[in-house]
Amino acid sequence: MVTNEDVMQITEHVLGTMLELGSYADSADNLLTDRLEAFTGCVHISGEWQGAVVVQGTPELGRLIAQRFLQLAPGEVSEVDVMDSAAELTNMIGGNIKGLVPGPSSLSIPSVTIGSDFNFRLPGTRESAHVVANCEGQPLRITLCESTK
Amino acid sequence: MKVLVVDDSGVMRKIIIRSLNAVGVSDIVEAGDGQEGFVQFQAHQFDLVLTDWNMPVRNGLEFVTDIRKTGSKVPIMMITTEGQRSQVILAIQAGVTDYLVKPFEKESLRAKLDKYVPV
Repeated sequence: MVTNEDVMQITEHVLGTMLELGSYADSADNLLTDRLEAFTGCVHISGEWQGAVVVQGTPELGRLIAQRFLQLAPGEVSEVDVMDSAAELTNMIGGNIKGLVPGPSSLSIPSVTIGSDFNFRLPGTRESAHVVANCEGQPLRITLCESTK
Repeated sequence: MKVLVVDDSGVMRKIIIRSLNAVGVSDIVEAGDGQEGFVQFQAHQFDLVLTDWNMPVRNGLEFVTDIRKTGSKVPIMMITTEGQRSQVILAIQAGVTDYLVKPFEKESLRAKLDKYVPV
């Protein structure tokens, strides 16, 4: 079973190692859902264990992640840069979580949405872990959804 | 020295190419999946191949198998989130010569590349 602590440890490791960004578990889930440019990344795990990992962050954090991944100046970051970087972040967090669930299993290609005017639902799953990391003052929400079938 | 970089993530390709440039490699060909990578592999003579595992169309493991079927002994480094022992063994059995698990520190990638880049 993957715990919130496992998910937080993986998130800290990915942010710290690849992006040199510090983070810590935040008790407040203050990711505003009406943020127009918030990103939502999702990657599916299929096989012996079935489910998905959802990674959501603020526009500010999306731009910061893109800056660090691509070594860009703040003004150089495009929406595509944010989406590609959020996809890679989701892939890394999801891939490392996959290593903790019963295998064999495979990881899907990540998908990313930017915006807030949508409803997001993974039918047939239940939330099995949920953490909010505070990264440079910005919330990053990671949710592990496990298939109920 | 000519290097083939195969990854469906443009972000990862940029990170890898930055590290290659830092160790003095500029002759680089990119591909976005294993099928495109194999087309490039057959069209050029490479000294090193760097590939992801999880990719659309044809994954990294299939790509490595395709390369080894040609009889090529080119060094192949897999850079992937697949860090479980069983997966590493699968990759080695397919013909991977080096392995780096994501996330990694840039120094780790450069240290790996140093082994293959002539001084």
